[in-house]
Amino acid sequence: MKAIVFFLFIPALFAAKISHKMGTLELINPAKKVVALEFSFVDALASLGVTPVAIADDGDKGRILPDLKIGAYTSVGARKAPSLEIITKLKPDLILADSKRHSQAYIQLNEIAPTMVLDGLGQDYDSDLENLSLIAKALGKEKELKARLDLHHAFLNKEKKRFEKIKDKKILFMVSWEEGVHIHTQAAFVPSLFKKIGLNYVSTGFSNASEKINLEQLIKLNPDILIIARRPNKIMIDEWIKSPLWKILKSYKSGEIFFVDQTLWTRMRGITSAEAILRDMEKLKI
Amino acid sequence: MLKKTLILLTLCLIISVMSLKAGVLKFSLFNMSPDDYLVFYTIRLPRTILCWLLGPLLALSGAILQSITKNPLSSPDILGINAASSLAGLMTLVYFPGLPYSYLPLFTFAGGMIAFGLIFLLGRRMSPVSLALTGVAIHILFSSITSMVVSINSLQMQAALSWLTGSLWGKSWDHVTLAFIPTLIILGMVLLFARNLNLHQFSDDTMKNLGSRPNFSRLFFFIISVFCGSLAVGLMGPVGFVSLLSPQAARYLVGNDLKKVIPIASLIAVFWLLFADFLGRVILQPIEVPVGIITSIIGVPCFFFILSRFKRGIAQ
Amino acid sequence: MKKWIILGIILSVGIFLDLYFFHSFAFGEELPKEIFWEVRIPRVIVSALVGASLSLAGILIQGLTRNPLSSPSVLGINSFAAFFVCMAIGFGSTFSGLGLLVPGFLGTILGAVSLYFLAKILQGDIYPERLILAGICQGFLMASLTNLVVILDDSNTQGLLFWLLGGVDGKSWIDVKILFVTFFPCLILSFLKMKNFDVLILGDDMAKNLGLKPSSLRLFGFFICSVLVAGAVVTCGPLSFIGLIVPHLAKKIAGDSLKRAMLFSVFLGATLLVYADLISRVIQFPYETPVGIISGVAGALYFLMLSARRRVYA
Repeated sequence: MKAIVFFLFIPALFAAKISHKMGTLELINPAKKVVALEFSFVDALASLGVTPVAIADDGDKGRILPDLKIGAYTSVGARKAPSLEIITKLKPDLILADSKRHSQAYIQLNEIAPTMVLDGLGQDYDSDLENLSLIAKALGKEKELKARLDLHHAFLNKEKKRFEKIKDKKILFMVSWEEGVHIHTQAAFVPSLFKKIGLNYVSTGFSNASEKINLEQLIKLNPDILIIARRPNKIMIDEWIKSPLWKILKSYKSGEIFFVDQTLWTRMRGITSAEAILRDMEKLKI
Repeated sequence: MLKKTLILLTLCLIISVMSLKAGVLKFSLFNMSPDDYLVFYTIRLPRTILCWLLGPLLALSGAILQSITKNPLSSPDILGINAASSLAGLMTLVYFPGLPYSYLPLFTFAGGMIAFGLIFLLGRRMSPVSLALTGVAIHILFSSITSMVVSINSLQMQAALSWLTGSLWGKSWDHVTLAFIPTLIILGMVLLFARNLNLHQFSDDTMKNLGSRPNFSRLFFFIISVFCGSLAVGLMGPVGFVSLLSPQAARYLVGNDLKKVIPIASLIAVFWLLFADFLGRVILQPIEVPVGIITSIIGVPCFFFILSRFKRGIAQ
Repeated sequence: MKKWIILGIILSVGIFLDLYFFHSFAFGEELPKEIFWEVRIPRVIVSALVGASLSLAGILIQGLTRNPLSSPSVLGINSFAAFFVCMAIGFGSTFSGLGLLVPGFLGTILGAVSLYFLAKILQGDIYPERLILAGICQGFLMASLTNLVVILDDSNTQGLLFWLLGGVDGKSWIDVKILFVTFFPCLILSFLKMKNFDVLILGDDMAKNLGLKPSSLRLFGFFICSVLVAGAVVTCGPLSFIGLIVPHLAKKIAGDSLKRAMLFSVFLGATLLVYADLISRVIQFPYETPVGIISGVAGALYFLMLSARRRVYA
């Protein structure tokens, strides 16, 4: 009798209760088949060594960073309206949804599989770490998380030392689209990562994570180092470069304007991509 | 009339079946494995049934407005009611993100009523023409404010855009249960009062002579129309053209008697929504094109067709 | 005469404020002169010319359709242009400059043509407001199609949405040149044909009696409007209500004579948009609110006031 009772309790040892944006996730067993509906979740899973069974990749496998080294997965289509049918067919244990895009469908997602709604889009570094630990909890991979974070912190400390020589320089990170240029503020991922490794970021006066600016505002901010994320096609920054105003930028005169890849720097937002970003900076000799 | 109803009903049933069959996963409806049944029951069936409920709501709100404003070009989207409802819905989504989605129709109704209140306050004697014109300005006012809310946080734009383009993605049985009783009650109520609504094609004086109270009646029906329109917006997001054109098409088929127009318009609207949903899930698989977009595409040629026969119907 | 002087003063003050205040570099702070010449001056000129273009187009349309409630935005011409521009951007054009001029112009021409036919169908209708409603439906149509393009072109969605809000941010000398080419010739042409337009407004029969051809004159008028609106939409995106409100105000202040009203409209429109640009930077400082939102909200409120007082049916 006692033996039977004892065995009944063993599965309950995992029993995770994780509260998230839309409620509480209750899992009896650690999740194995996970569906990720936003890119930062993919990074989190990859950092834990897990390949999600499906990703909402907007139909474009190129959007997933190769550095993440994940295996094969099924695409469920657009992030803003992923195919619920494909998700259902895969019979996942856990769905990771973005609060901004998928809150509306929470009820239905929960009917398909236990769902966790997190702030995925436009978050800063600390918030991503928080998501990472919640995801690790749901997967029962807290040990792996600790090991990975130790590696990550060691890497960050190494980078900190390397960047000490430019720690007085003001850095600005921005993204250029066809219609305009948006700066990222300290509420965004890359700038908050910079702060973690001791770099000095321009204080922009904006509170949103990303904000559109014009050329005059850029000149007012006048950073020492300017990093611009871009895609290969013709974008607004190409027009700005032609303007005579571009030449009065401090960073232009000192030759410290750098162009970087948009997918790496803005899409993934997690600890693995953070490390890849820092390695990219090393390559560019920032 | 009966023949037309049956034809439309059959068409709706056919397209329902096609819609239920359509989707990324291919399976036969008669031989479903338990997994397929899960997809069928959780995802496809609620959407399809929701179309059957939302169609009458959209048709009603358009038909009522067209009657009481005596203008065939009235509808909740043109008169700004949809714009106000969607602004209210958007602000709820942005500023109260954790709220359960069943509360959304409450807020959209509040928004619709604000638009109605403005129309009422400014329309003075609520003559048909001033109703229509005021509505237009209200639409632009609310959609500008919507743009302002959206532009404040550019990241929200993506989320906002999916809300602002009526979509059936992610709609579950919760939405169906929310729509079921109100729709049936309103449908029954309007059919009951259809005679009164029919009187609105005459002038105010004639109406008084026939024993009706024009201002009160207008007020009453306007509120019902706002309710229908904003419930639809709260459940699906704003969808254009259906409320405008389905009553028009119904009138083309069966004449002006609202007792006939309302059922036919409802069936047309149901068919339209089902067809749009079906197409949206089929043409760009696995990407889903929102219902609101497809209804607009279908609406464009229909609108021009209506306008061409407008020449004949000017006396209306 | 007094009114003109007052308007002149208001305009100059507006330009001064718009040039120097509420920018990133505060008034009095040391400002690199390139910013002044490459950023601020073009912006103010563009604001003024766009305001003037839309107002001129508005007063012409109101005369040509004999409907005091017409304007390029209300009649859907703006939306036609916006749709074609979005299509062009979707097919790979960039967001600024001359590349958009062709699709923009194509859009306004088609919008005007479509409206021309609508006007023909509804001519002699006892409810002139039906033209307005038809124009609004046309606008709705185009807005829906534009929405479709915006959604389907995934990579450009955010950019297109921003553009559709309408703004004078980031305008350069290229935009100024575009507006010079669209606005001034149209202004001159309008003045040359002013007498003929005046007659046309009185009625087609009257025009025929005086030896004019009303339909070709009307076509010409619509053509001028198309060019004006194309210039405005291509540089600043679709802005609503300016073509509606400014002519109204101008007629109220300067009197009904077409010549005076037209000239006053042009200057009044320029003034209003310069101030709107200023307000767009003030409301949510340091954020910029797209000018289209301001013209939309202010315009709608004014229009509501008009319809409440039922002055419009005069």
